[in-house]
Order: sequence, then C-alpha cells, then structure tokens
Amino acid sequence: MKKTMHIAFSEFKKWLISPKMVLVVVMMIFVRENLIVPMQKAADSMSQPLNILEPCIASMNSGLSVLAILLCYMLMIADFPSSGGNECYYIYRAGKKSWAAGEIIFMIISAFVYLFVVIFIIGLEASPNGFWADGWSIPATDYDKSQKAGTGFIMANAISENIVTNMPPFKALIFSFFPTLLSMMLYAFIYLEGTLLGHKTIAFVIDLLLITLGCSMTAMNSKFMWLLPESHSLLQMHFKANYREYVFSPEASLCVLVGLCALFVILSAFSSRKANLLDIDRR
Amino acid sequence: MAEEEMKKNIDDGEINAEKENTYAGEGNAIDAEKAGGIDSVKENVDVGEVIPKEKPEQDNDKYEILVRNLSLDIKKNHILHDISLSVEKGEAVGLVGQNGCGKTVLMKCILGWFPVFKGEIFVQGKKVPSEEEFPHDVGFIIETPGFIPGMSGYDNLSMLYSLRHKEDKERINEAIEKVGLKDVKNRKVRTYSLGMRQRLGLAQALMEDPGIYILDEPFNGIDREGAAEIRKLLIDEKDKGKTILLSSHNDKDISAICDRMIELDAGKIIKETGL
Repeated sequence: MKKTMHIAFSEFKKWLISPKMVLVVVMMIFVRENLIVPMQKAADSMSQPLNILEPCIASMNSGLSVLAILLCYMLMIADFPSSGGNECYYIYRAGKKSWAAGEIIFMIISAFVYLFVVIFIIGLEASPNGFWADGWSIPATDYDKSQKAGTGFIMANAISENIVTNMPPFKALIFSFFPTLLSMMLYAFIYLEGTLLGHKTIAFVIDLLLITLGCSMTAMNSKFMWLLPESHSLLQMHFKANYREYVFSPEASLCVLVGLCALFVILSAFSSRKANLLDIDRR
Repeated sequence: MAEEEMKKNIDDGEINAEKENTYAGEGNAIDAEKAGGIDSVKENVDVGEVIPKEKPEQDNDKYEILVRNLSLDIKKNHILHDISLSVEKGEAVGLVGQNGCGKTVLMKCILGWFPVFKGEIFVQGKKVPSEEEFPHDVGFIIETPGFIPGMSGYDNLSMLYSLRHKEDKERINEAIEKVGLKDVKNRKVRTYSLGMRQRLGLAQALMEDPGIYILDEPFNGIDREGAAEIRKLLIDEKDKGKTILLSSHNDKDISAICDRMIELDAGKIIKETGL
C-alpha cells in the first residue's frame, strides 16, 4: 500500500508541475465567456442575483462546457502513464501490481482535484453577485419566460428546466459532480487499459470518440445515448420537465458508472501483469 | 511415436514463439533438449565458459545470471535467437555488438521487462519473471536514464530510494558523491547535461548497494575524464564481489572492467572471448 500511494503521489506531483496545466486556464476562460458571463448578464438584466451553485451546476450540464471540461482533462492526462521519465525505476522498485494500483489511484485523485478546482473557481467567480441557499434563483426559474423567444441567451441551455423542476440546487450539484467525476475516471481508466495493452493512441481516440459522440447524442436526445457514459453523467437528461417524470434514474446512472469504472480497474490489474511496461510509450 | 509427438511440440513451440511463456510452464526448447533434438553445446565459442544445454536444475543457483535458450520475437521480428549465457558471482561480463544487435533487449529480458519469451532466465537462482517479477538485488541503467526534470538530483533519488526503504540521506549522498555529482545534487535535473544525467542514473543503480549491476551504455555522454572515474568506480564494485553485466560500444571500457566479452550480432551470440 505504501508503494502504491508513493507511486500515485509521485505521478500527481509530476502532473501538477506539467506545462499542460496552462490548459486549465484556457478552458476556464472558455467556460467563463460562454457560460458564466451570459448567466450573470441575464441575472443583471432582471436585477436579481444568481445562486452561487447555479453556474457550477450549469458547467456540468451544459453541452459545450462539459465537452471543454472533459477534453481538457483528457489532454492533461494524455502523458500518463509514461515510461519516458524515471518510470522504469519506479516500476522496478514497486512491482507491476503496485505500480498499476498507483496509476489507478493517481487517475482518481487527478480527476477529483481537477473537477473540484474547476467547480470551486466557477463558484468563486459567481460569488460576488450571488447568494448561497438551497433554492433556485429567480433568473434560473423565470428568465426565459421574461424574454421574447429567439432573442439572446437561453437560461435553459445552462440550467435545464428538467433539473430546476425536479431537485433543489444542492442535490443537483451532488448529482452533477459525482457522475461527471465518475465519467472522467472511466475515460481515464479506459486510457490506462489501452496503454497497458500497448495501444495508447487508439485508447485516446476511443475516449475522444466516446466524449464527442456522447455529447452529440445527448444534444440530439437520441434514445441510444444511454449506451454511452456521457448521458449518464448529465443530470438534465435523466428527467422530463414535469416533476418526478424520470427518463432514467440518476442513482441507476451512478451505479452504471461505478460498475464500468470497477470493470476497467479489474481489467487494468490483469493487463498490468502481462504488459511490457518499459515500452508503453512506443506503441 | 513419442518422438513424433515431441517433434510436433517443438514445431508448435517455434510457431508460437511469441506466445510461449516461461512462467506458464517449461519451454519447448527444454523438451527438445531432453529428446536430444538440439546440439548439446553452444557453437562459436572462443574462450570463456561454455554453457552445456543439458543442464541439471540445481545449476540455476550456481550462477548470478543464467540465460538458457532465450529467443524473443517482437511483431514477427526475431530479436533474440537461442541465447545462452551465464555470469558467476563477482564476474564482470561485457556485451558488445552493433546497434540493434539485441544487447539492450537481452538486458531488459534479464531484468524481467519482457513477460513473454521462449527459454529460461534465472537471476540469483530465481526464475524471471515467474518466481520473481523483477530481480530484487539488481541495480540497472537501461538506455538514457530519465528523471523528473523539475526536481533536484537528490530529490529524484530520494523518491526512488524511499519506495523500498526508509529514507537514508547518508546512503543517497554517498552514491551521489561516488558518481561526482556532489556539487550539483540540489540543482534541478532539467539543468543537467546528458553526462550528468547518466551519472545520476548510475547513482540510482548504486544507492541500494545491489549484488548485480546491469548497465546498458553507462558511459554514454560522459567525457573522457568522467569515463575514467566511472570505470574506476565499476572496477571497485567488481573488487567488492559485485556481478556486472555491461554493454558498451567502447572496447576500452569493456576490457578495463570485464573478465569476459560476449559479442552479439542480429540477436545471436557469435563470439565469446576471455579478457
């Protein structure tokens, strides 16, 4: 266990000092300009504050923002695991099992820290003009009704009526955060498994396809979207606009994502035993 | 009838060489030996120890490194072909050959990096990788050593050391001093030259005081003066009874340190010379 945690934290350290961290800044600017600023403008136009939690929930439910958050994370972990640095010395000293377990823990920690920091910063940005309560703001519930159809920003694109009708903001935040986190972990585990099988590039392409196809299918509201992990992580897809009219239970989605993650953890544990870990970068 | 069955097994083994797994069971080559189907003694040996192919099992403990009939195919390319070699305790053996002749791959196999191959490898009597995933008592450098560029040389070694042991500053500093990096140990690795990284790699191999060194081109990027220091260091280690398997393009390095030299060409041992 000591070796496993050592590997996980050394990977985390490498990840933190990686030059790719600049991508988070770019992604945050994108999310801010396309989601937070329009939401705040909408609230200002009604002279009403937003709930601080609302931009956070919106960032994990609005298609473009979710796409940006996931793609940025995938790019940031694309260099992991790697055999180019001192990895061979770590693997040799820790053993394959501990190393693979360390990589899995690193993926979990990196996904959690990344998403937590992103959501925390979005919350901070919303806080000067926002309020903190477990109830939806007037802009979130009434903005679209107060606007002429087809003019400017649509609040429902950020926070869908499906969510507002069915649960309070704090519960919505929890049911947005954990499925999004689990989907990120799932993509990371798929990537790790592909790397261990010697097909790092293919695994990366599969992840990108799953993310983009998932986002597209949810945007089209296709019935096949439930075959992809992305729809399970988007809370708004689980309901219709009427109260408690479920399309898919959010709890069941959590179970699906946990199950898929567990499956890929087990697969990675098996694959690590047979992999030539010294050459994982070269294939 | 039994002989025919044995021959069929051997053929199947050759076809599936890549699938053959030493830790999945005994290699077909061994079966073939028992059947007397392969020449019993290695060819093209000038001087040095000859490894009989029909070896009793207890010989595995006699050598620090024992490689028997090792063949490795990667993507249908024959990388190593029927390699047999042995290194006794306290002996230094040099591997020479042109680029791509299989020196590095052979070392990687001995270190346990290739889980699937045909033949048998024993390090300190333990079969690699079935009995021991990676041989425990080995310090190694394979290709150009890599380290975390944003951390100091000392911190890099300390992180590696603490994986197996409690941090021992004295041990780490001693290894750093041995390779001549004392004055730059707190500098970030990204500021190190290729030669300095190579020395840090050597310190990494030395710091746990292993019984065996497997060093792939340890003189790569090191200037003449530095190479002489490293040569002296390795001779000292050999004098302490350490076993060394070393590859280099420089005959001078090999002849200064090693007792024997093994020449490889296209994945085969073509010559074995005593020095």
